[in-house]
Amino acid sequence: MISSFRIKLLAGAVALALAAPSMANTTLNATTTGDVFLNVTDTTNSTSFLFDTGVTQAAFNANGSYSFDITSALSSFLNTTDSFSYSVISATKSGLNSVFDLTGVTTPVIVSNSNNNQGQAAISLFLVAANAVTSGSSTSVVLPTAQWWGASLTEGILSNRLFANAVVPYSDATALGTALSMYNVTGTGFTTLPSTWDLTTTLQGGTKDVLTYGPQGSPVPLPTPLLLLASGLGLMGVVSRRRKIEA
Amino acid sequence: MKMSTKASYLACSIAAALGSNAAFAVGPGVTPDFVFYYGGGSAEPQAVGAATCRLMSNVDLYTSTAAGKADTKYYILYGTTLVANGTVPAGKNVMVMYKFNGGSYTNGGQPQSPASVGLPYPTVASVTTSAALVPGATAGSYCTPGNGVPTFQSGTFTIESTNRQPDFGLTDLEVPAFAGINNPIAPAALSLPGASAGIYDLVFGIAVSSQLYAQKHNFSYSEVAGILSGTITNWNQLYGDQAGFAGAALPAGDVILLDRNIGSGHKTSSSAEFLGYPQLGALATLPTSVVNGYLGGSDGLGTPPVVCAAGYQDVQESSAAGSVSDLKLLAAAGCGLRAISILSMDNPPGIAANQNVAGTNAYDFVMLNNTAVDTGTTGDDENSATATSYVNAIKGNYTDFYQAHFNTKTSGFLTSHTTNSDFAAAYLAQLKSASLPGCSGSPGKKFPGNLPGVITDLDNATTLTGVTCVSVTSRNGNSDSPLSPFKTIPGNITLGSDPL
Repeated sequence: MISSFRIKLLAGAVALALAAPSMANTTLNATTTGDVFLNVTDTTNSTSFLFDTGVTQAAFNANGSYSFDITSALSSFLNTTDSFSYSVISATKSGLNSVFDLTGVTTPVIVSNSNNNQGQAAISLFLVAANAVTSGSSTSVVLPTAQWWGASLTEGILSNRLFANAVVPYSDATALGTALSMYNVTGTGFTTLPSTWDLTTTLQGGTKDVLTYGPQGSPVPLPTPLLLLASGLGLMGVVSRRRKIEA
Repeated sequence: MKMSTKASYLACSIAAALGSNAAFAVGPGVTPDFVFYYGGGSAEPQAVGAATCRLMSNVDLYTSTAAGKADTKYYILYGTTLVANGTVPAGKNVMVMYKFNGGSYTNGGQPQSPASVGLPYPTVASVTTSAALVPGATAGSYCTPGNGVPTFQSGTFTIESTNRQPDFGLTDLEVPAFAGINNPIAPAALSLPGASAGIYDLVFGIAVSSQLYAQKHNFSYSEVAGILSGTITNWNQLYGDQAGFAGAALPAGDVILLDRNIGSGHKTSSSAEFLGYPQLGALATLPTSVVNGYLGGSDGLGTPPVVCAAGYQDVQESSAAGSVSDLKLLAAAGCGLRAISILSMDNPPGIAANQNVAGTNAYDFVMLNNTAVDTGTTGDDENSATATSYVNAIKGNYTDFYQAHFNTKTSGFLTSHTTNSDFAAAYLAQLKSASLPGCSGSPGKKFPGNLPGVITDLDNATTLTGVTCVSVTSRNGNSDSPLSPFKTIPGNITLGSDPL
């Protein structure tokens, strides 16, 4: 009887799970909020992973630091056989003027507002399609070939319009584990942001998949116990040296 | 003996009646033996009409638009079958309803996908009940050369409560071209028909209002691309080439772009031809409607948004009829606004319906990179009231044309031997026929109304000898395929030979 009850509970749970509305879904846009999002492209399979950082373009602090542990979402997308690259993008548009915060392996080549808008439109179309792809998460989604970021009519157009590079490898992305500069493009000018993005994953030998943004060239602080140990060893060395001299 | 003679007379009379093309219209009071439902682009009604004239006699065209003008949503033809077509016998009264408003993918591609919910159609009763002969028209005369216009005026069409699955759909170009930004149901995946066949070649062009044509006849591809992508928004960014304007920047004035809706074959073809979408990938340029949104409204059809007011406009027209209507409106308004439109060439400006004043075109088709679709001389001019040879499209010098497609929901439909499938197959045969073309040089083979029509794709021609309306290059059902610029055609060409 108890066993039967448990089975019914289990069946009910399974049914609920199956009947639950599919969760998509990111709510990214490239017009008003311009949320900062990460693309990880599998260039071997022509699929991509999209992660919504939840940080709007307006809220993004170019002088700040960010860290996102996306291990649980990204790990199943990665494998050791395919080739991957990543980029971080944000775009908004007001009237006929687009504003971008986007990564690049080269500096942007700005032609005109109109040219920029062609890039913004490609991002916007990409996000509309991506938001509609079913996902179990509201912050990330794996995109099939029909909607992947690396398409020539998506990433290709962005790369062509903002970096004057229409051929693969596109200029907004680089390999995992490699730092990427970010640029703010407003009108016909651009500035290089003071910090860089990096995506280090288990493929680089780590234990987690972490997207970070932080100051360039900053010294890595040592943990306090290590500092104490080092100073202690140093002190011991000085004492030992004095004893030798005295002797 | 007497009985035998009477029987012979009767038989002769029947035979004569059946064999005659004399106008004995079916008339709106007669219930059709068959009603068939089709759909497709707004560039195809004339081709459907031409095919109908091969299949039926005493054909009438019904319209719900006032004053006997062509209907803006449905092309409804009613006639009597000339011969048996499979299970559809000769002498039967057949009504054909072709829906076209809203784009050729919307009406001719997506409805043929397995997931389609069909299209809305009028009730037969609302078409025929209270229909009256258009003043000055002759019943059953739709197919009479020089006619090709509505013969019966219906009241308001009542739309059936349940959609119908059209037997076939016609798209201006192959259905996969309606992907991405050309797909009106994006971001959903492109819905493909169960089966498709390439038919004739459909010629497109750039039409400009008469005020602009007076200043400039010749546009480069990059100029058109700039207008379609929104980088050119004022006419003073271009140079003129006509008397008083040649070699100088055109007078300042906002560009009025009479655009089309997403899903339109017109828009898809222009995106492919001038902007390289989707075939050029990253090198493609997006239309201004995608980048900036439509600016100026949703549909002209003779009403605002196209008004005599300053400001750049990118008008979302829902059919070629809307574009023509707004071109006429602007030309007639005399306010100096200059418009440009992507338009298929089955809308010749020289016929009365497309003129504001008899003999005065409301718009004209321009040359692209110094090349018109024809010679532009008397008797061979798309912009005239008489005819065109499409000679430069046939040679491949004028490349703005695509292979239209005939789409069905399942691959086995056409061989399923039902009345629906047999009649659809009969239409397919006509739409592929090398003798269907409506361009001049093929006496007796012009469309109703002697209007410019289609040219047959090389894929479907069985011979080129003596046929002047077969393109000597082919899209092969693929807009990505390059068109070779043939410079000359050395006389008649034997199929399989090198025309060069």
